Amino acid sequence: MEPSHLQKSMEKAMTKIMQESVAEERRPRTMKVDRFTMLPDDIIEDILKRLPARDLRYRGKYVCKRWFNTINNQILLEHTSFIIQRSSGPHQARQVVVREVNEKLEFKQQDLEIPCRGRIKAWCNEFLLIADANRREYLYAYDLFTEKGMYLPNCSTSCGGHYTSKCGISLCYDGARRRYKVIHMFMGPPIQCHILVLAPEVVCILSNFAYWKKIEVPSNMGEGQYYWGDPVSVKGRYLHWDVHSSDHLVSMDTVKERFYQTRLPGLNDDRTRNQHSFVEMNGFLALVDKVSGNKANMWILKDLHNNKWEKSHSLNLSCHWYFSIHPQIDIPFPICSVVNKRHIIFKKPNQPKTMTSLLRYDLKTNLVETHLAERENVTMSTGYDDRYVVQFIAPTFPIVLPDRVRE
Amino acid sequence: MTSSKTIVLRSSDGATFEVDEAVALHSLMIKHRIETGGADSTTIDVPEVTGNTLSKVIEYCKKHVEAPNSDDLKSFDTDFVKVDQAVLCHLAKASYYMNIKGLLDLSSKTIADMFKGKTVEQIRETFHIKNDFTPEEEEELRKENSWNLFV
Repeated sequence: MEPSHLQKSMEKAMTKIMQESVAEERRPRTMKVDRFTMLPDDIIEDILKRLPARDLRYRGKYVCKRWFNTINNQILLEHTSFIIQRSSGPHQARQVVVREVNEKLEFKQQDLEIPCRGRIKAWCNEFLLIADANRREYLYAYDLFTEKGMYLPNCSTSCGGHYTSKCGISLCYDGARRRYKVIHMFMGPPIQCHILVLAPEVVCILSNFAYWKKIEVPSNMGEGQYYWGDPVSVKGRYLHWDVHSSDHLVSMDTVKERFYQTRLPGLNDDRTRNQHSFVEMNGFLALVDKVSGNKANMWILKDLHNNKWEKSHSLNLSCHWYFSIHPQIDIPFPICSVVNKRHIIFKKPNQPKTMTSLLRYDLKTNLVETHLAERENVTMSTGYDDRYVVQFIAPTFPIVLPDRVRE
Repeated sequence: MTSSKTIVLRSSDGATFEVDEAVALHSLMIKHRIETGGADSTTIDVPEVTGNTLSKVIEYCKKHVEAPNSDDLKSFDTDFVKVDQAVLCHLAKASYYMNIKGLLDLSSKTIADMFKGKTVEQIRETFHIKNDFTPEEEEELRKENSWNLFV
């Protein structure tokens, strides 16, 4: 019986596949063949996901276009990173990367070795801003990618030392002009604001690569002396300081160098200090506002310019989940949200030394997990006096790369 | 009396391998083919995989099906992937198409470990990956990455 046309063309195709794969395997090993091109995208993604976020962000991205797309558009979007640092003593720090895997959180820790001993004040993209512990007017910038750092020029006005909370200092990135800025806010009234602009192209024009400038803060901002601490950064561009006022925040758009007195939503009457706190969530500022013993409302600042807040969740912060001497007052302090905006990691208030400090709140199910494990049965060890510094990614303007062309 | 059913697997280059059905079922792709195959499902074609690779895959499945709780399973796995890169990539690809999760995890992890801690150039050299960025794009990337200050 004669083979049909269909059969003939199928045989032809089979022969071709067979010849290609045999040729591929028989190619002499010395020939420099890119083995990766034959692997489908799913395998590439599976392999790259196993690399530490740092290797991906600072190295893997730059290997070739296919890796750049896979890493930028899929893998890195799933990470959140923060640093846990001892607030006294040797100031040891370690970096934690959090990823959501199958509705649970996965933590990876890595110790950091930083040449400058001091308090890490801010983390923007790959740069850490550190307040030197010994010489308290000095600021040190450290690049996690190259593992190099340098001292920055001192700010001309003294705020009493960046190491303490007498001033609010942070690091931002202007993606359009490709420059970093150190924002230094202190005192009041009037509020003082000094900005250190770090602009590489200025190297040629001025002998100084970095210069401080003082900017005017509108006189109607703030009536008294403020408490400044480290601000919450949104998108590496907007900074929000909780100045311990019952009805407003001080906010700044660091690209436009414009200030806002952001009024807080909801009723003001019962709001006292220490009962509300702020966290960045999915590109917006979120307010966690305790309204009664067990409940807290979560509000999102949708529009900074027009001061528009939107109520998003009602959290059940039952104090069964943490030991508390003052359950009416204490509230877990949110550290960071995991990038998919479903989970928030909180620090329990004032735990005794024997207990772990972190808990995870799942916004979808309202469930709380109190033992955050790095691997099975290994709980993340945290001290009651640890500080947390969350990484803020300021988007840079990406190169538009074409999708991988299929051969 | 046949004790257990056997399946014949045929690679892209025509090599055939007779294996116990239980071993073949370790591949979810083959399991699916058998379950939906009908009467003549004793010979299964695997055109995405050559004979050399298929024989290694079968060796893996055999060990994992016949002695899943043995103490030396871990050392078997470690030795199993002590092969050159080409074979490793073929194994990854084969385990992907044949849907053998354990082997895919093993190969992916081994390949990933080859990249950890390496610089961009070293990563490219490991698998001879071509740098397909244009000079203009490389310049943009370099600017994005860090200032000229820290050189």
